[in-house]
Amino acid sequence: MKQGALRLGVFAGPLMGTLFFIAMWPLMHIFPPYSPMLGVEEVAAHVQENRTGFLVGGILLMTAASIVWPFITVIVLFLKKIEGEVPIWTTVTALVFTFGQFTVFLCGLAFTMAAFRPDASLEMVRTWSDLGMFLLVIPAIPGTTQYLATGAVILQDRRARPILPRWYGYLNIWVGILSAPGAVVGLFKIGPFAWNGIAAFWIPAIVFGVWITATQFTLLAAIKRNALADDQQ
Amino acid sequence: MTWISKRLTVFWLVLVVVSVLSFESSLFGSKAAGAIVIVIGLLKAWIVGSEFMEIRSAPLVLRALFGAWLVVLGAALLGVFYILGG
Amino acid sequence: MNPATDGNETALRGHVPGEPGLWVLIFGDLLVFGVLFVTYAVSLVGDPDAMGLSQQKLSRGLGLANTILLLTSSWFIAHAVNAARRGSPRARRLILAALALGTAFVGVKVVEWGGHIGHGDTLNSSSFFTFYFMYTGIHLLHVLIGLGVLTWLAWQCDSSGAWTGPFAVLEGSAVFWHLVDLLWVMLFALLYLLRHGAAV
Repeated sequence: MKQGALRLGVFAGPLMGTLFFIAMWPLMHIFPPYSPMLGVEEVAAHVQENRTGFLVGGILLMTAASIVWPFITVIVLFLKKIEGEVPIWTTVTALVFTFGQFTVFLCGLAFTMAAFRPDASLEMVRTWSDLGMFLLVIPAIPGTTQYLATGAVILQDRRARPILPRWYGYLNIWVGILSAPGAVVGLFKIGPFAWNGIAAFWIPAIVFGVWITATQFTLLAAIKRNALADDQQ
Repeated sequence: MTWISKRLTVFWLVLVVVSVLSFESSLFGSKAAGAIVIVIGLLKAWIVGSEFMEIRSAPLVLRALFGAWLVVLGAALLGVFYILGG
Repeated sequence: MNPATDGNETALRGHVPGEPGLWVLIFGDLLVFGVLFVTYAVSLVGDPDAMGLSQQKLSRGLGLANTILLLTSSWFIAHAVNAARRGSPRARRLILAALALGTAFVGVKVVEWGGHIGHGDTLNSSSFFTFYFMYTGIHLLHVLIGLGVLTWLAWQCDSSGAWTGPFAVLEGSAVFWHLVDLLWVMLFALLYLLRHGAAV
């Protein structure tokens, strides 16, 4: 089996995460996110001060959404191995994952739009920047479907030694349930469910960090024991 | 009715009775009412965990983690209530 | 894992209910709900008057009814686990009883939510109602997942009504259902009963 290629694929995951974080933190200064309560001038001033950061950050976000595919492919290969002939939930995972990464790509584009024209009206700058903030948090909605589908695949594995460990299946269900509150950010400008709040931002963000870390270790261990070539029934 | 577990039923009864009795506990109006509600809630959670989820006979790790959750949450809630809330 | 243990104290000693991996989900959920509970408590003491005013609009009676429904549902699923340990054909009936009570919980919740929305108290009309709808909503998501699992469990019983699947699957599902109960017990105490200051 192509273990080297698979391992390389896994590292697309942390690479995506790193680019994402560099874009948000030192470049755009939106980690932690700015408050949805900020006025037009304040948001526009933030974009103005970090114009280059926003433009380069936008490129990094779009790049992150474009280089993550080997990572996703490795996950999907293992899920397909588990599910076998009719890989329904594997396909659901793959499709929703694709959809979710599309929002990350558009997020980069929205922040680029916010910073692109220095003479744009302040309202316009804030509108595009707000769209960027939504696209940053909103992937939690498709994420819920994706994680629950992944969990369903892993837990239906009846092999004596499962292809992927069962605790990782339960972890996916946990991540899926806790990503769901990200869906309501449009309703609030303040409090735990606003886009900078504990329940809509911090919990999904930390839980995503746990997920991507656990996923790397789980996949690397499965590749090491050559689980794709496993012939148990 | 030999299929009915006496132990589970006793704890179920305790939980229901305590729930009904705690119904008006918030109306005591005293400083202690908040603590009573928090502690009773945690005690009920403890019974559900140790009796229904069978944590009481689980390995030490699970018992310790569950106990720690109850203690830390209880301390945090009471702390918020009586230190932060004055 | 041994179906013959029969709930016996010594036979169960040191046994991990369900399977070890499940406890990642259980403790993960407990941890996050712990954070949510404390977040709520901080808001409650931060603005006790406004929070208390909204809180008074809750129907404690419906909250109590739902508490008793879930506790009783837990009692049934715990007995379904015991029935499966004995290979008794009663398992399916007990699972269905737990399922019916869980469905009644959802019914009560819908009536309760409908009443508040009808009175103009919605998801973002006040800080308290945001907590109320969101926390009970996240909990309801757990209930719905649990009901799906219970339905699937009933399906797995043979024609006599005995449990035929792996024992750990039934036991683990029951643990998740008890978690739903445990979280509700805390939500009932914090959202419906806990008051702060003079707002009583």
